[in-house]
This record gives sequence, C-alpha cells and structure tokens, in this order.
Amino acid sequence: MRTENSQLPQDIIRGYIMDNVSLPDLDDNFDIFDAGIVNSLFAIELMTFLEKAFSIKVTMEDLDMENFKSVNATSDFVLQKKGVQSA
Amino acid sequence: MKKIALLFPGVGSQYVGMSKSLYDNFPIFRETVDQAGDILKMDVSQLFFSPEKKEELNKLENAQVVLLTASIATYRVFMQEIGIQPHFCMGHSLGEYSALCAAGVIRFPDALKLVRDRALVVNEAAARIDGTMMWVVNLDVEILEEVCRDVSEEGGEIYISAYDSPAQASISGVTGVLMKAAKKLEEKGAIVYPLKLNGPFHCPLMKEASDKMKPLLQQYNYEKPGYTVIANRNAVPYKGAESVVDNLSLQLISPIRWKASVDYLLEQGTGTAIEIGPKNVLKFLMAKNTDAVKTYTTDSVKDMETISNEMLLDEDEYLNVIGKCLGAAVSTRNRCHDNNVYEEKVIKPYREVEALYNKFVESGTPPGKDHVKTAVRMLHAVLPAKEVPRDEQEYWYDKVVGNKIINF
Repeated sequence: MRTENSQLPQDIIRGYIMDNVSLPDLDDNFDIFDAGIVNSLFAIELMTFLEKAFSIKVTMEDLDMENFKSVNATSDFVLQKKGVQSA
Repeated sequence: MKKIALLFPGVGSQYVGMSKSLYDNFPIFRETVDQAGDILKMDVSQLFFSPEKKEELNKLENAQVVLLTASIATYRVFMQEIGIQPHFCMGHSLGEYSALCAAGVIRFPDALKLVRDRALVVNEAAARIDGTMMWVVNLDVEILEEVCRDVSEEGGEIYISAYDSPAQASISGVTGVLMKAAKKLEEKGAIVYPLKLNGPFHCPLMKEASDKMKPLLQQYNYEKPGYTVIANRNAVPYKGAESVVDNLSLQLISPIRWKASVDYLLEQGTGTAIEIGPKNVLKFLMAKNTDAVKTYTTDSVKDMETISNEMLLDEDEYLNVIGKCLGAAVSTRNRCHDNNVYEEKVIKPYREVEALYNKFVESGTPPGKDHVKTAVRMLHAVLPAKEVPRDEQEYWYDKVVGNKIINF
C-alpha cells in the first residue's frame, strides 16, 4: 500500500524519527523506546505526526507502546488503522 | 539583557542512571546525594543508579526524594561550574520544592523531609479514591474545559489538573469518569494519554492531603527568596517566606498553571531557561508554549559544557568586549550639558579604560575578568551620565557582550 505521495509508510516514519532524534542511521526493527532514545513525550509527538501524515485517529486503545516501538511496528500499526478506517 | 529562569522538573523525570556523568565528575553532586541519604537514612544513590531498584524508584515517596536530590545536586554543580544568577525559579509540581530550595527559601534537609511527607499524605488520600490522571494533547484548553464541565454536570468528578501549554493539559478525577471523558475528548480530536499515577493529583479530590500538608509545612522556618519564585497554583511570585505554607498546601488541590507561569516569564523579558534536573520535559513544554525562550538541559557533563560554551563569555573575547565598551561609550550622543559632570563622569572613566585597553593591545598580554568588569562598569556609568535614553542604553549593554554572560 502506498500513500498519496507514493512514499512507503516506513520511509515517512523513519524520516520523521530521524529528523527528531539525532540518529545517523535507523534499522526498521530497532526498538527506540527500549533503547531509551525516546520517551512518552516523543511517543505523543509521533502519534500527532501519524494522525496528520496518514489521516488516522490514535485512541487510548492504541497506546500500547508495542505499536510504536520501531519503524516497522509503527508502519504495521498505520496500515492496520488505515485498513480498519477505510473499510 | 534578557532574563534567565531556572526550571525544576516534577515526578516522571526520574529514570535509572539519571545524571550519572555529573555524579561521576563532580564531588559536590555525590556529596549532595550522600547528604540526602544521611538525612533520610536511606541509600539514595542506589535509587539513582541501580537497575534492580527501578520499581522502588518509581514509587512516589522515592521518586520525590530522588528528584529533589537530583535537582539540588545539579543546581549546586551549575552554580559551581557556570555560576549564572537566575532572575526566576519555578518548578513543576514537586519541582516547586526544588525551586524554593534553590532560591534559599527552604533548607535542603527540611525540603527532603517535606517531600517525603508529601508523598505519604498524598498516597494516603489517593488510596481512598479510585482516581488517576491523563494527559490531553492537541486540543484547545477551552474545548477541554467545556467537555469537563459537561461531564461534571452529569455527576462525575473531573478536573483540569495542569495547564501545560495552549494545547496540552492534564485532567484528574475518578477513573471511570476520566474514561468517559476520554472518549468525548478523542471525538474532538485530542490524543488522550493515561499517566501511570495512583491518584487524581492537583484537584479538589486531594483535599484531605492538602489539609494534612498544612501543619507539616508549618513546622519549618522559611527564608526570604534569593530569586523570584513563581508559584504553581496562581502563577504569581512568592511574596516572601509567608507564602510557603499556603502555596504548597493549596498546590495539592489546584491545577498547575504552567502556561500562565511561562507567560509571566515572557512578560518579564525572559530569554533563556535552564532545566535543572534529569530529562527534558520542561524544555519540551517550553517549546510548546513559546519560541522566544531558549531552554538548556543539565542531565550530563556535556549539557553543562554546552551551557558554558553558549552562555558564558570566553576569555578570548575579553579584549574585544573592552574595545566594544569603548566604542559604545563614544558612539552614543551626549545629552549632558554640564561640562563638569561630563568631564568627571564621562571623559575620566572613559580615558581610564582606554589606557587599560591600549596597554593590553601594546603588551599583547590578555586582560582578565576584572578588566572586563571595569570596562562594563564604565559603560554602565557613562551612558546614564550622557543621558542616553534607557532603551538605547539596554541596546548597548546587550551589544557589547553579544548574547553572552560574564559571570563575575
């Protein structure tokens, strides 16, 4: 599935994370919360970004950090949300 | 000169391994941690650094003691290494105790006992209520107030417990009521983020704790603040030692007016803030409120070096600053028409600094801090003597040191 500007969700999410935490490189499976690189404030910033970038609504049921722990996890979450919301 | 505020974090900013490089590099940090341990008869350093103590650290009674200790230890390192006198101190919730301690209002040993007792009374009150707190982000506070009002009218206890920024607040209340409100808030576009807290803090549900805190606060003596301290409950500066008991007991049942406190800092011309303690929550909140205040963190030696490099005038720049003082003294228009005054208060001090400057240029030896001080003092005497308008004076005072500070 591709977004409007034909970038993969992974690319958009990875770009956002790398812009906001100074990381030279980011593996898509790397757990950024477990590594202590980001905290709950960043999680909220990330959720705010996801809502805007992918036109989804993040609710309390989604707040499991498993959903946002890595680029791939976040991307899966977005795709699942988009699937549910457009269905 | 833009004013400087010190910000002290509240519960939530603690983490295992916090400020480790400060602990390792500055004896005064270690001594402060040991001092806290001696006073409270507990191993405070274990709570700072031991991964096995993570759960213990996050218990309110430990988190409060550790954060106060971390902030005061960091404040002492900051004063020793950077030595900039702030104009304002303020702290978020528990951080208000740290701010008062840094401003000399509460003695550190007394503050330690007070925050330990504060955790006990708060936990006791919270145990009787099934309540908690949530962050409400990305929603205008006016809309949040409206939703809270609607839910209250239906009979549920819900309150705004912190006004952090124009689009971030926290709510406190009975858990079921908060869950109901959360749904409505999400419909309005908010992200609602439950905080892992065991009670509905900073709202009227904490009345019992507030009532118990008052006599505890009355046990101690308080000093006049050395810097202006801004109170959470009303965003107003402490008037003196007599404000302490009311402000800190009422803090427990009042929303934290952080946004209004930041607005006060802005009105007073604050341009720099330094978060004294672990993490960067208050730096984050500052950025959500304004881009007119640059905020520094102090969680590591590297953070301290950044502050030193960016804020303090380097020795290499001393001669340049003396030259700029001379330049500013001559390039301002004179409005003083009394020749005797002009000779005595403008020409004479100017010539003295000029001679000093020439001496350093000719000899090639670098001037010291005292010489810069003499030049800056000269400018501060000459411009008023030339009857330069106040705002123009300020312009020149800023210009000679750029955005740097000379810590005399």
